[in-house]
Formats: sequence, C-alpha cells, structure tokens
Amino acid sequence: MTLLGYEWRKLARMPALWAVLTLCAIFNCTQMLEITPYIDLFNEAGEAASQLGQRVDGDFLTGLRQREQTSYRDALLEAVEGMENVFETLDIQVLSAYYEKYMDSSPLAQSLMAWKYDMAEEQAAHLARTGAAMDLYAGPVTTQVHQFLFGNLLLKVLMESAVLGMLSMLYLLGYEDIQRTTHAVCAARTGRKLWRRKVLAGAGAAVGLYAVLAGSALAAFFTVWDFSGIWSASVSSQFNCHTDLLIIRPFMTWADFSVAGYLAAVLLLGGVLVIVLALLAAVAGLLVRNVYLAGLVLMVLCTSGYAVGVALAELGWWEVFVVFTFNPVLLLLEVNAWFTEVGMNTFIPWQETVGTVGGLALLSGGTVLALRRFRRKDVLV
Amino acid sequence: MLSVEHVTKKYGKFTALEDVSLTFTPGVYGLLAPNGAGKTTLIKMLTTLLFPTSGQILWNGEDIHALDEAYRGLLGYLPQEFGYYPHYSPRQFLRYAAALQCVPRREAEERIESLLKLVGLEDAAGKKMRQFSGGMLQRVGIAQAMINDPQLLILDEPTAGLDPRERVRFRNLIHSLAADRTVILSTHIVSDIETIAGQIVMFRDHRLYCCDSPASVCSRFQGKVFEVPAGAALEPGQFLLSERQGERGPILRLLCDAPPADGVPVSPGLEDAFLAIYREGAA
Repeated sequence: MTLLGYEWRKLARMPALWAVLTLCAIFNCTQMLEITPYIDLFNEAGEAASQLGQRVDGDFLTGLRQREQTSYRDALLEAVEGMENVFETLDIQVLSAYYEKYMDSSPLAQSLMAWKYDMAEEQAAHLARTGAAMDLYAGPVTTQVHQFLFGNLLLKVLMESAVLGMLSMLYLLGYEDIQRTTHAVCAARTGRKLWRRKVLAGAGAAVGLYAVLAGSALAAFFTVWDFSGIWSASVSSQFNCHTDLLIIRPFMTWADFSVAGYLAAVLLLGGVLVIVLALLAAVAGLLVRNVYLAGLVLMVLCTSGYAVGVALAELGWWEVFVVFTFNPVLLLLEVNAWFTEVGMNTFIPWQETVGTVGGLALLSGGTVLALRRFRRKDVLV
Repeated sequence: MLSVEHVTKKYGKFTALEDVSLTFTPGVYGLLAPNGAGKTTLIKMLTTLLFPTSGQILWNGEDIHALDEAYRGLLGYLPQEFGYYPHYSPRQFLRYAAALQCVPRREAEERIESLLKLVGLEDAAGKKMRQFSGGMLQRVGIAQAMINDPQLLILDEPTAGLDPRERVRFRNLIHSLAADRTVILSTHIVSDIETIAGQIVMFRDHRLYCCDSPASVCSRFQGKVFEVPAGAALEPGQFLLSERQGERGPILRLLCDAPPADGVPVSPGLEDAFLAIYREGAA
C-alpha cells in the first residue's frame, strides 16, 4: 500500500466518520419532506415539458390545453398563459441604483456595483434575445424546487462536506501526535514529507466525502423528483427567481445554463470549494501544531464569517466588505444564487468562481509555505 | 562516521546542551546521564527531530540536514516513548514502517519475517498490538528501528518499564545487532550498558563530561570506593553511593579520598562512577 493509501486507511478506520456520514445522508434525505406539497404540480409541469418541450409558445399552449384536465393542469395553464419575455422589459439599473444608494459611503463599492450591473444588463439583453425566460422549467413551483435543491439540499451537502473535510484534514495532520508516533515517523526516511501526503489525503478525502454526500442526496432527490423533461430547460426561466435584501429578481446567470449544466457547474465548483476549505484546515493544522487548538481556530474563523460580513455592512465599512465577500464561507452560503448577480454579497461577475479559484490558488500556496515551515521546525511533541 | 561538532541547543534562555563535540564510529555507545541532562536532546538532534541552535552534525563529512532523506534512510530509531497503532498487528505496523523507510515491498516482506523471528514475535505477528505487554511493544519498536537495516541505530531509553527478564533479553538483542553498525543507546540504567557499551558518553551541567570506555570511567574512582557496615555516621568528606545487603546486615558503599574506619576497598563499578559523578555538590 502506498503512504497515501495508509493515510486514507487511518481515516477509514474512524467509526465516528462513518456514523456522522450516515447521519448526514439520512438527514439530507429527510429534508425532502419540506417540498412534498409541490410535487404534484411539479410532475404536471415535467410531464407537459416531456411531451411538449420546454419553450412556452403557441404550440405549447395548444398542447397543454389538450392534456387531461386536472386541477394541476389548470393551475399550470393559468400560470403559463400570458407569459412574457421578462428580460425584454427588465430594468437592471433599478437594482444597481438600490445597491449604490445602500453603499453610498464608499465610491469603490458603488463603482464596482455599477460595473457589475452594467454587465448584468448586457446579459439580460442576451437572455432577452434567446428567449430563455420563456422556458417552462418547472412551472409555478420552479423557484421553490430550485431553491430547495440548491439553497437547501446542496447548501447542506456543501456545509457537511466542508466540515467533515476540514475535520478529516485536522485528524490526519494530528494523527501521529495522538498515537505518539510523531518521533518515529519524522525520523524515518520519508520524515516530515509524510505531512505532504497527509494534506493530499485530506483533500482527497474531502472530495470523496462530498461525492458520497452529494451523490446520496441527489440520488434520493431525483428518485422522487423526475427531471427528465426539465434537464434541457434554461435555469433563467421567468418562473425561477431569487431574493436578496427582500428584492425578488429573475435568476439571471452570467452565461447560458441548462438545468443540467447548471447543476453540473454547481457540483463542480462546490467540489473545488470543499478542497479550498480543506486546505484552510491544512494551513491551520500545520501552523497551529496542537490539532484541537487548530480546530478551535477554524471554528471561530468559519462561524464568524457570516457575522463579520453583516457587521461590516452595518458599519458601512464597504471597502473591507468588498474584500470580505471573497472568503470561502460567504461564497458557500450564496450557493442558492451562484453564477448570477447574487446581490449585495458580490461585486464582480462570476465572483463565486473567481473567489473559489483564487482561494484555491492562495491556500495552495499557503499550504506549500506551511509545509516548508513545518519541515524546518523542531518536533516538540 | 557520525560527527557532532560544537553543537549547542537552546530553548529561549534555557540551554539544553552546550558545545558538545563527539565522534561515533561502528560500535556501541552508551549515553549515560540522569534525567534532564540532555541525552534525549542530543538524540533528537541526531535523528533530525531537533535543529541545533549552533554547531553541526555530520555524517561522513556531510551535514545531516543537507543529506535529508539519504541520512534518515540509514538511520534506525527507537524513541523514548514508542508510539504505535493499537489496531495494527506487528506485521502490519512493520509494513507501514517499511513504507516510511521506502523499502521495496518484496525486500520488506522478507525482512519483516526475519525481524519478527529475531525479536521473538513470530507467534504474535498477526495479533493486534493493543493486546501486547510493554516488553512485546518494545520488541516491535526495535524491529521497526531495524526495518531498513540501518548503519546507525539509536535507541532512547529502550528498557524503561521492562521487567528484569525483558531487560536482559533486550541487552542480548542489542549486543547481537551491534556487530557491524553504530549503536547509540541512551539510558540512565547503568546495568543496561555496562556490559555491552564500548564507549560511555556522559553529560553534566548540559555539557559533555566524558566519552570513554567503561573501564576508564571507573578507573577515575579507583581507590576511592569503600564498603563499611551500616550504622556508623558519615564523616565529612564521605559520600554515600549505595546500600546493599551483606551476609551480616546492610553494607554501605562510600566515596571518599581517605579510607574510612572499618572500610574495605572495592573496585568501583560503572554505577559507582555514575553516582559519584552525579552526586549533589560534585565539582
């Protein structure tokens, strides 16, 4: 077995990990009870889309009227009749003006917001041309189903994966201290370089845990919720909205995303974000040699992320707030609106992507430096 | 050849070792000193766990930190507190140790079997180590220290916590391993090394006191160690080394320049030398 395999084995032999993983998977599945009231209307929309396609046009309406009359069919028909291409009349500058006024104490924040919404305006014009708003997606329950999937289920999966990933990383980094094998291991030929493999194993474990949690949650979700008529729809259907600071706005993504493509993109970025947080744990674990203290430091850093952001906004420290919105915890909390203009918590297009990739680069570099420092420090355990 | 050249180790204002210079060639060296004298500090520097504050440690003329894994690859180390994975069997643990030492798998399997036989653990090779006694665990420890057939074997307090039978067994094992390598054995138990060490290294006040054969160390106190019956009060200039039970009652071993009344001169042993060197108030 390779040394990397031995590290994974150390994790795999921890019963608590499997117990927590199982509990999380069960908990995630129970969350689906929350949106069961919407399933009948969702199924009606899905079946109609399978039969008639996603684009709501004259043919769609005709076909829908010919479907078997049920209360759900009637509700769907009522919702889609009179649909308009909302992006043609959408006034993005209203949003821009709102946020700029909110941040009127900071010219930097205002100018970034203005620039972001200028880009959003261009994207709105593009979506107007493609007619994305005229896609049905899931009809009148689109927002509820979409926000459940991305803002509830995947948010929980990401949080669970991040926490388990960080704890796994800390466990591996502190394993030799716990077992009192640090001296023997560091004096071996591999020596302190083993900690490089521990970091790789921890990052790999974080991704593995994420895959298990996401896979189990999505398998359960899609077993109950049939998306077969929905995958090719645009996520920017006019029935899909999100809210920021009590303002409801269309789900307008920076690029054209089908539902399938959007899910894939969120899953991919989520995986990278989980690695970012695992590397944060690696840096903490390598710099703070006591693994329990490192865990405490991480806990304080991560849990205070949201509170600090709110405090900065309340205090009007917008320059600091701009930088703070790139922190991985805040990015994770915005998963329900990734790849859109999000609202107050982003200042540039694709901020979740830029922030995650930037975080990966920064923390990869930080991990390399922390490993180098570790190799030059006395083993004082 | 391992050379320690003017090595000092400080932790803030505290000096653990000061200006130590030593040379180790093939043979058995005993680091003998009381607890806190700096034995483990030196050993940790020899095993690259600690970095000297000043000075250098060389292996065949090259700095051991510059050699990095090339040096550690020829080193076998049994730490003072030998940690292990309780859920591993000795065979599994030795496989892991072999992986850490980058020993090729086929070679490792052969060596593991021979080491398990050498340390007398063939019958327990598949049992979880959480079931092992202290002596059995130390035997696993020596086996893992030997997994890469090291040229330099460093053992830190290897017999601490072992019963007398285990300690004798351990001594015999070390003796058999010392044939063609450098063995550095750190202990404060004199009997562990007085029969197997060719050189004794002693520290006092965080400095090197001597590096000499056991006979030379003992000869410093020749004519100064006497045995007297217990009961008489110690006179000025007399220092109590130890007590033993004689045929007619307890007998005291004293260190003094002038022969005491009723004193019988005896040849100083290594334990006498140890107690004499590290007695309170010694210059």
